[in-house]
Amino acid sequence: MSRRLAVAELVAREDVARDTWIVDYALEFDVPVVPGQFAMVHPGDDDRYVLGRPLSILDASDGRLRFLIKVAGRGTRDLVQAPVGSTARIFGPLGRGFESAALLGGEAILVAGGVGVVPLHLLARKRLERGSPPARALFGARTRADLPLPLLHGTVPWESWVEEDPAPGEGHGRVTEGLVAALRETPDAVVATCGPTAMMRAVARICRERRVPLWLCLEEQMGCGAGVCRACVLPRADGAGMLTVCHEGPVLPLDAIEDYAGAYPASDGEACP
Amino acid sequence: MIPDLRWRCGPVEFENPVFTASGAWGYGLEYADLCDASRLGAVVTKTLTVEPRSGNPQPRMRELRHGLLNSIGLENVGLRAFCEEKLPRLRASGVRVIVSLAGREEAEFATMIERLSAHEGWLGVELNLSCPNVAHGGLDFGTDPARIERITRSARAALPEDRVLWVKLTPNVTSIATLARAAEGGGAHAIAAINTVLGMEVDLERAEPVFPRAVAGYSGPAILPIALAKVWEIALAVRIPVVGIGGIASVEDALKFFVAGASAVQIGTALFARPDRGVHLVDELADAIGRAGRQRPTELRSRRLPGQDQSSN
Repeated sequence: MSRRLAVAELVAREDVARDTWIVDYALEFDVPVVPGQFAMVHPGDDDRYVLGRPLSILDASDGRLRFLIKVAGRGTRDLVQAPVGSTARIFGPLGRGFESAALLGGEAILVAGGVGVVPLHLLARKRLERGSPPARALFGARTRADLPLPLLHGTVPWESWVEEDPAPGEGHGRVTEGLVAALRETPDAVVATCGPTAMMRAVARICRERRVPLWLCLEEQMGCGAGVCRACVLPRADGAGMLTVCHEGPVLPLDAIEDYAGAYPASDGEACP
Repeated sequence: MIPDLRWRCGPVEFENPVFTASGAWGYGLEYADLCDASRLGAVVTKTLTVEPRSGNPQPRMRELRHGLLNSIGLENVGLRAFCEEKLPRLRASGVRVIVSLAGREEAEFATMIERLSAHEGWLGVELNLSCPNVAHGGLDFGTDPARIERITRSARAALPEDRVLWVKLTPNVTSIATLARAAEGGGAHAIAAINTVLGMEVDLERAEPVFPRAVAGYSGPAILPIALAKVWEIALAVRIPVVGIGGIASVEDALKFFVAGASAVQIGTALFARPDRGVHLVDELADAIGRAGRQRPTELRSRRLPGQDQSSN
């Protein structure tokens, strides 16, 4: 394990979409990060907050750790509003990321929603670095204001699907429609997804119906981020108790989790971005 | 004066009086890459039951402004897996261990101690008579003094003579002193207090409690003053030592417990954000005691409290 506990200085922050920021922390050491791994980031270096916030790592290089943070409560608001030069406590990298060779090498479709773009963006970049064929990268949002444009218009050719007010060149509708179309073109592709639970469940139903291998990068309320507090558990598919999203995940193959796709109504596409 | 943190409790002498609280640090193996758990007085393990338990459904945790609500439900690997898989590794890494136990019926505590006694690598047990998050063997055991005395007595009878017996009490009662006296009467070497405070969170959108069991256990900084008051109440009532638990995050927090009558402390919820906090607390406590011109943390004990049995300083 190469996880570390550190107090890190906030060195840059950029407003990239509605309530969404890219935040960089300086680290005195480089840590190898697998796409999908996360860190527990504790606002401030004091005890104002009982817990850290689990944040997926967008990039780790040149002594910097980069996150895309969407404001979801007072903790994340404090994280994005903290001034440059302030510090946060960071514990990471944690969990298991996208390690499957099938995802890193062959034909792949990535389906992201919201800050779920983070691990998939890093995965797409790792694939490019390895010389793998570019993945089809699909990003879904409700409105244009939710698109983190600096990410989507960078090295990874993201295709955006917007529900309400798409611009020319963007898909109109749900990102799952883009997935269905992409799977028609490349039925042998494997799929990775990260985003709102309703979206991921819709992706899971689509992949299960077509027997397409799927890896999910899951989000749960976490206490410790290290498999200890047992807050973020899900039932194992094999019936052998619970697995922790933070330690055995957050990236898991669909067949590891009990009835993930079936836990919501049939694939009518309701409530997914 | 050179601080002396050693603490004798019944038949066991601990290197120092700083422990990790049950449920907050797993089985004592999970953070071996970050800090040296053998520096702690001991690790108090996640509570074990005879059979493995998968715990409560989601959601299990909510962070509030000053504390944490949990409803984990005693998820654990079961006593057999602990003894066969965890204990040998703990022993090999020199980590001292207090095993937290919960039974579904009174006789189960002694049975578990007998099974544990077939293995080496542990210094004692802490009876969890106070989990708010299970239907049987939790608060229903921990609020009846007669039951506490019976369970404690049978546990002590089953326990090897060189091991220590702690009883962990709930604050969710009218008189924790009555429960402490019952545990003392049953032969406990120390009282551990407090377990979590009953709390609840409401989901306004659904107009329902957040947790399936409605109530949950509240911990963290918010409960520190409650815990201090309970430790004080217990210290006034019994002659055996008190292990203070509740909201400790800093050395100042720990010192307050020694003043309030504790002879040792456990750190819990603060470990989720800072897993190495307990190990650091050992050094910080030594420094703070030295700076205060004292030799032992128990010298901070308020003069308004009665003395303790000399056998267990």
